Amino acid sequence: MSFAGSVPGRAVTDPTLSCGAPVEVSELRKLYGSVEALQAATLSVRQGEFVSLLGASGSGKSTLLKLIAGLERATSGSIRLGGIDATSLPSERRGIGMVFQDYALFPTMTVEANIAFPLRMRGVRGDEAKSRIARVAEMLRLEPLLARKPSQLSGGQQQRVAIARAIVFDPQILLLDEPLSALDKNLREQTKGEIKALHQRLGLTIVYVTHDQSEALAMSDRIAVMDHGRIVDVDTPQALYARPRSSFIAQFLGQANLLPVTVLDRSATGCTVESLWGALSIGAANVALEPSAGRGARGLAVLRPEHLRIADEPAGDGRPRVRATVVQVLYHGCETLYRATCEASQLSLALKETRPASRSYALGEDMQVEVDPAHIVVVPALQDGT
Amino acid sequence: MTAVAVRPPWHPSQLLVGNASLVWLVPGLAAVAVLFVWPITNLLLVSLDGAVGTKSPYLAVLTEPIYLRVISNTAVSSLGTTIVCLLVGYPTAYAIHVLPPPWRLVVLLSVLFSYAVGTMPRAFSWIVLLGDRGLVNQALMSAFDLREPVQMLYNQAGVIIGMTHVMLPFMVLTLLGAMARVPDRLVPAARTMGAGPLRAFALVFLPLTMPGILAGMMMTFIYSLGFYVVPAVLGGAGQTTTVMILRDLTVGQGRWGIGAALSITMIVICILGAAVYVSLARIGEIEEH
Repeated sequence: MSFAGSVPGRAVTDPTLSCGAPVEVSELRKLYGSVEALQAATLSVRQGEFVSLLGASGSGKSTLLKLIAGLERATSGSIRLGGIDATSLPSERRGIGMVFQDYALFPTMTVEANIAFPLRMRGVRGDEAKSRIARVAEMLRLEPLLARKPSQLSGGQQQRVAIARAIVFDPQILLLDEPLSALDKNLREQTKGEIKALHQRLGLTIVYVTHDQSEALAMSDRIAVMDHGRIVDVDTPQALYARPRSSFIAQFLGQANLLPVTVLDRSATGCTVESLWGALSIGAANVALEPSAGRGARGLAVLRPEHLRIADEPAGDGRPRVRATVVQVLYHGCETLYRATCEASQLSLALKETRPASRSYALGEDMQVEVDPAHIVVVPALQDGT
Repeated sequence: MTAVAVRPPWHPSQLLVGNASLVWLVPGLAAVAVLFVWPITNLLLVSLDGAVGTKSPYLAVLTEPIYLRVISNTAVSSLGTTIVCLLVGYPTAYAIHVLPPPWRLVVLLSVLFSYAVGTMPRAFSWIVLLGDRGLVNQALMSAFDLREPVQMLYNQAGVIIGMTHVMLPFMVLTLLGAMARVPDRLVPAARTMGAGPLRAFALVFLPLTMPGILAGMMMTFIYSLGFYVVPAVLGGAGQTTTVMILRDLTVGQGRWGIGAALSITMIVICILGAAVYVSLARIGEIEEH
């Protein structure tokens, strides 16, 4: 799909289309028996915003989405959709569009009847229904498939029908439950772009559930990271990736080296930590330690593999270096991933080399690993027992 | 050098793979041939051979009012049983389907529990309940101040009540199977699209259980055609079924030719019922693929 306006943020091109409604979830809890599937979740999704709920299975992300959709009743807390209290409204009166993981197409109906279903439920018939179906069918390239049954479609086609059916009545809020998980890799990449383009074109509010961090990073305005029924952190993909506030977030989003450090000195402008590379000074923006963590406190330095550099030249330019032995080489074409172990500390480092001209290293070879302190983030050390 | 095929010594496990495994069909096929094909063939021969004078027994079955009345009686009772079973069975099956698992098992077992009692005692127990001075009539008479008891025994209503009692668990189980195959998310999905509970049920759930409805109806209908005890106990003189008249013709009067012809006629009706089901089910299949 090629949509005019790949401008980030909302680019509503059709003035008749809805512009999204805010979703406000406050202190929402859900118990299944004695199991707390969702613990006091509070999340505010702005009008027209694309927010992903990212977490492993059992993290509570699907429970939160089901509560927003009205498919489950909250144990306590409240949900406001478009400013209206929807906590106890049944699904059919919430005015949401929803795309299910397995698409949930109606097998007895044709593609056209599937797309027409939400319109039929709203008493939209005849020419009005036809033109709305034609519009979404064109948008999602479904025109040749309208007369077919869902079982005659490929996975990708079924997925587009599910999206068409969810947006045909111009909902202000679109909920997507792992919509790409059943697609193969190439189709997934393509559909990512299509969903993003749809969001930009329609300007609706999207809540997107996924366990795939690359989907969340690529599409979201903000990501709510969930773990064990809690929302751990909510922020933009850039902030969560570049400046994670905990080791959990650092490891969950992208790859990260987590290296133990000890605070040598802490001040308003940042802190100095003792690390593999000796003493490093870290700017205050990159320090996520408790305010009480002063001299002697232990933390973890988060280093993305792409921020570690292999220094080929013998003389240092002042950046700290450490010697390490290559223990694994994974060649990916556009990049090479190395794993190297530092002899003295036995710490293992993951490095990503993307410079095509750089020399390659073989197993067992020694390399000098250089670090740029500006990219290091210091987060609290894991508590014992967690 | 040509490779020498390794030919392992014969071992019984070879009967589990390839064409050799067809050997396991032999006992079943033999039983069907001896116990089913042979008697039916015999029956057919007897029916063709058993002419009374110059008149074929088939002509008698299809023209003499007594046989036509008995056949139509049997068919109407079976059809009535099928419809009542569906009307009572669908809500029952749906209730069981939506119950939480432990309760589902309890209710399902209580439905199946009626099989712990044989057909005969169950038929007689209806006499206690439905008779002129039975529990149901006493309740009705005092509730509605009736002078005369409602006739519920020794007529078609009694037969249908008794046969429904026997056939209902079959219908419920068949429908439950069909309901279990409806994907869980479809009804919630319909709800998110604006359908209330009733419309979600009627437009999404019900059409998906149609194969089970058809299968349950066919099974109930065909099985009901062969009832003997229930109509004999609960039906009146007017509720003579084919099985009852068959017994009378053959064991009682020794008129094997016409008995055989009547049997073959009933088999044909069964096959027609099955054919209707298969063609309806196939239309459903074509729609799905």
